[in-house]
Amino acid sequence: MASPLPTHGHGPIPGDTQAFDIGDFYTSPPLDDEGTKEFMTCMMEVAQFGPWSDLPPELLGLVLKRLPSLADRVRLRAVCHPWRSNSILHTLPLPFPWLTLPDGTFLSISGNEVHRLPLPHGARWHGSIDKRLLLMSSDGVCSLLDPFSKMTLGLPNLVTIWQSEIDDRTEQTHVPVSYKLVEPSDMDSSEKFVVAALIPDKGYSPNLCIIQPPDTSYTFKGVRNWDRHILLDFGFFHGRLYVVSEFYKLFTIDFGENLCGGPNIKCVIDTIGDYLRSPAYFCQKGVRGLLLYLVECGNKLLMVQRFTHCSQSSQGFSNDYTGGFTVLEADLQTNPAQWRMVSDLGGHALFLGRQSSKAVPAGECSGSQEDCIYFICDYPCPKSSTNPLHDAGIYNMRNGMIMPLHSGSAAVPQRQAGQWGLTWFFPPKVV
Amino acid sequence: MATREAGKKMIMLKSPDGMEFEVEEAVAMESQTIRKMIEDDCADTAILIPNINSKILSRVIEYCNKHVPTTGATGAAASDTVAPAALAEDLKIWDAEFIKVNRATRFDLIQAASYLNIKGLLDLTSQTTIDTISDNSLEEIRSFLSTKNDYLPEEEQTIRRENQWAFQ
Repeated sequence: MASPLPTHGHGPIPGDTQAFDIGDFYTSPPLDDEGTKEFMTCMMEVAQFGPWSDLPPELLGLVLKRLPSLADRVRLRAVCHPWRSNSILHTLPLPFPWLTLPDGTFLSISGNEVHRLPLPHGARWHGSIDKRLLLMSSDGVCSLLDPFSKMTLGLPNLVTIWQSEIDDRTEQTHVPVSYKLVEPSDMDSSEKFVVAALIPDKGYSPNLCIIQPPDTSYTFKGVRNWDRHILLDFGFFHGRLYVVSEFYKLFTIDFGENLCGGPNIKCVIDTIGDYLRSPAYFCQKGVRGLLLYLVECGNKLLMVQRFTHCSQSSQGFSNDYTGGFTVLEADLQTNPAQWRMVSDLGGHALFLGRQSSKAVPAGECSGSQEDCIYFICDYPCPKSSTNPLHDAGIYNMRNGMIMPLHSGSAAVPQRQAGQWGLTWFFPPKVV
Repeated sequence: MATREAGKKMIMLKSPDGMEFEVEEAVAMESQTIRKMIEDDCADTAILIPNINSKILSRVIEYCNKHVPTTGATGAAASDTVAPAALAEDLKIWDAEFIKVNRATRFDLIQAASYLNIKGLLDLTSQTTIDTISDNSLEEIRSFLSTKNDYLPEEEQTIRRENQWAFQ
């Protein structure tokens, strides 16, 4: 009887027709520059080609599915013909999303790379929604562009309607105008609405513009005119538009066949509900701010509350940083409907942003973790901070821990490098 | 032959190059493929493992021996005094050592893990391959895996042009 040999692989393998003599060479963890050089020298000595081109399709798929970086997927497909043709056989999860950077480039967190995509000449960027970018051309026309498929969706009237406000704002504050965009999760449904909002400074409601491509739109000043409450955030849930106002009232905004008839606005949550049972953060010292996001997450409509604290840097500047989150679900089944605290995201990963948010089951987004909120600095950033990734992190709802979002070494341009905002951008599964 | 030693049910695995390995049934059942054979009563005598040579099979058995749940193992790691977290950490270090093999062996291991359906080993081998691919240029990936570039220069140019951003 033979027993398993407790030795590691040395030298040629019995029965293997290819001779490899690079010994115990291995490639993990990633090599530093010197290691790479040494390795490359070592590789030069290997004259024969290995069996990797023959990797069976199912095993190639296994590797592909675990690659969270789109660029790595693209490069893997480009290795050789068999890999290219075999890779199309697999349905892949979404790659880990990118972040738009101030100078118009993109940060791939999972790949630790900064990418530059070709964009229309002269276009200014005002945000992103899912896989599309909101661009404004030099002659003031707004559109949503998918930079990979090059598909463009025109957004009529947006600039005409908002031009004076944009001009005023930019002149007064020299701060780029910020937009929030939402669309129903299924854009192919018959109700093709896109909602865009001019994000205001503190103190007044966003200027909402509801657009039904190709050329119908309806604009109104939040819900202020009829309820005197300041609109805090809005989003689609099950294809229907919801807004949340001060005092956490929740409204639905419905339109008929088209936008011309104006909206039918109805209050669906008028009670604060569980909100009163969440004093933990308010009792803590140093809570400085509360940011609120309305997001569709799986089969739930969630109100995410983000608490920021303030700290003094060694230079005497004050710096905000995120202390924690509470998440409330709009329970629309009870009568009356109310906000109810939840302790998980139902296995979703939530990419949170003032300009757009998206929740995906963690298993459908490579490299993401269940019940984690991925957040970025989407509030007016302290002037002292030049790093666009200031206060960007991962909040794990299961244990309340916050981890840094990006610890890689990729050279991220400084905040002052451009005027484009920080948003989540979801590249396609394959290109 | 299936025999009993010290109360443990043993099972014989045979490689196509004629080597025989007697292992505990619990160890062999780390492989879902073998588990199914045993459960379906197809494994009274020695099980022939096709396509996996003795060298690779012995490594696979070594892996299964280490990873079999401690209640069913007689290994040194089965001490009751070891905390689960420490045990997991120990396994992680052991895995890292285990996978320090040349690329041809790793290729054989990934195939064996797939055929024998051993999830942990499949995870380990494919993750190691991913670490090889991640963050590297196309030339480096080809070089690391020693794969042959079978593209014509003009084909390669087209591929790079289509997704220039990924090759910068």
